[in-house]
Amino acid sequence: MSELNRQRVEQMKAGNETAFEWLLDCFERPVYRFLFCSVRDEGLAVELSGEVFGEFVLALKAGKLRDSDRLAGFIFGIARNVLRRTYRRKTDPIANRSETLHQVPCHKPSAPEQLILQEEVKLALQRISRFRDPDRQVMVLRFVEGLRLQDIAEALDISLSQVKVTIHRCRKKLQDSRA
Amino acid sequence: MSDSHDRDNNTFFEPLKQIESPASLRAANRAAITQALAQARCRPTWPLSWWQHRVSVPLPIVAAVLAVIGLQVIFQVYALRKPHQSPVPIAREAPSALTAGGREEEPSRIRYQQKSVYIAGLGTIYSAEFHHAKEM
Repeated sequence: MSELNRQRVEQMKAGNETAFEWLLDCFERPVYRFLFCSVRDEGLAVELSGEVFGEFVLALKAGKLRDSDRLAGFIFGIARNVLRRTYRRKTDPIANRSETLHQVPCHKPSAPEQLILQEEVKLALQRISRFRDPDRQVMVLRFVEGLRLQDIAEALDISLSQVKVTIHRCRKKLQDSRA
Repeated sequence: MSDSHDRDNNTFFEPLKQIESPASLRAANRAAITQALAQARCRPTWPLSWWQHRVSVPLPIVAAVLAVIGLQVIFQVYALRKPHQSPVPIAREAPSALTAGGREEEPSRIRYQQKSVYIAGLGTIYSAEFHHAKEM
């Protein structure tokens, strides 16, 4: 996997379009979900996703990615920076988002299944909205995207122990709320 | 992307994995990548980009500061080298010595004068002057 990553990164540095398609296949949905869980707006998440990949290309060309094994952490780190800039631009981008929850994008074959899934997604989004960043981002990266703890620490620019403590605290909070 | 030994079976957020990206996402990302690649091509390569980022902006500031310090040093050194004119006339030494032939010899004394000027950032510059002070 690391050798493949290294080859792909080298191809991307050379401007190979196939390598960028591989990148989008691997990271497009995770990055979109990460952004969507924070901003809860489909259009804004698409816009920010484009910004993330654009910045990734520029950072790659500038040689900022030193270790190709840390590709996931690197991309989510850019996504976090893009989100932070969005928070600065807007006063509170996720405030009063309840009216946009019906736009939750999910695809199921039948209408009832789709409705059920949309309700579950809404419920999960409500659960996660109890947390604030970076706790929310840690939870999404860990439990939705399944990133390694080291990658989460690198992406969010926090220590490994802080990631572990955050996960433990949030998990306890969720269990308490369920009880 | 995940550690097998440290995987959490938390089902709270399981539905979030079902969130699908919209159809327009791939096109938007491709467009962003293409634009960024074009932008990266227009960027200058290593020596020029390094110069533009690291040197070209602070260089005029550093040059201006060095010019000010240099001018200050030049002026101070020039002021030290100017011949000193003492406003107070040299006092006559008394009594004047008489030679054996009755001829008065003009006594000569070597006078030593030291001046110092403090220049900010450099320290103190000393200058010494020796001159003959002939008695009237």
